[in-house]
Amino acid sequence: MKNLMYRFSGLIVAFLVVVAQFSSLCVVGHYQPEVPASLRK
Amino acid sequence: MSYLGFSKRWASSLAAAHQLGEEKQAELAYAIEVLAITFLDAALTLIVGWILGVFWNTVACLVTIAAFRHNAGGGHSESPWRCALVTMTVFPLLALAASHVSMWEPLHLNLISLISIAVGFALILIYAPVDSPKSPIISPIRRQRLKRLALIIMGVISLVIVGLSFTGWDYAPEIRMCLALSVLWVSFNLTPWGHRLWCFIDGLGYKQERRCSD
Repeated sequence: MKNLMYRFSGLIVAFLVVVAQFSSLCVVGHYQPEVPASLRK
Repeated sequence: MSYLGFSKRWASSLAAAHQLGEEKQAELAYAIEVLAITFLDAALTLIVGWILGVFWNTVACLVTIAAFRHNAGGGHSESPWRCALVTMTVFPLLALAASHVSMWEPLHLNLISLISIAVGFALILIYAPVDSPKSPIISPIRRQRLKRLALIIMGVISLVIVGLSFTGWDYAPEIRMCLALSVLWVSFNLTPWGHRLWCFIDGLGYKQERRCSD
């Protein structure tokens, strides 16, 4: 499992970067995690 | 940056594997937290909706609220756990209320639909987009774009509410009331009273009075 995750970690990183770019306002719940300074616009 | 333990640990191991800097690591931790909280909230809400026998109504409420909040924003809790608790309680209750209200006279359903559409548009025009100190909207251009998108989304929701009243589908009144009640809830979250409600929820269980920052 760890080996599989390591193999696809590049894809996971790319996916998370895209999610971070598009999710600056929370959607479903009512809790907003702190947006990193680099993503504030 | 204050993120939950698992978000920090996973982001740190991914950043180490790809030699990423602190800035990218914070972005990864943020994305992991957003995904985890969104999925947890949605899953718990749908489970409660299913237990109460209003699964599809809960789905309708969830989709409406997600579409509305993504551009309009709204009041927030300071705690992910309190947020999850309120979300998994309020959304299925809206769905349950919609299934009861849908049995009322068509005139009353039309009135509720009309009020929710008017309130939704009015509060978006007055308050949206509502950001939070943890996610400030810096650019005035982005602020305008979010307001425009919020109005467009509200327009689409209104069309669906109105359109459902002309169909002969058995579940149309229930889904219509799900959309109308959801719009009323998210619109309320845009207002200062909505912020005060979240402040009150965040203060529950604390002996010292917490002060609202709004």
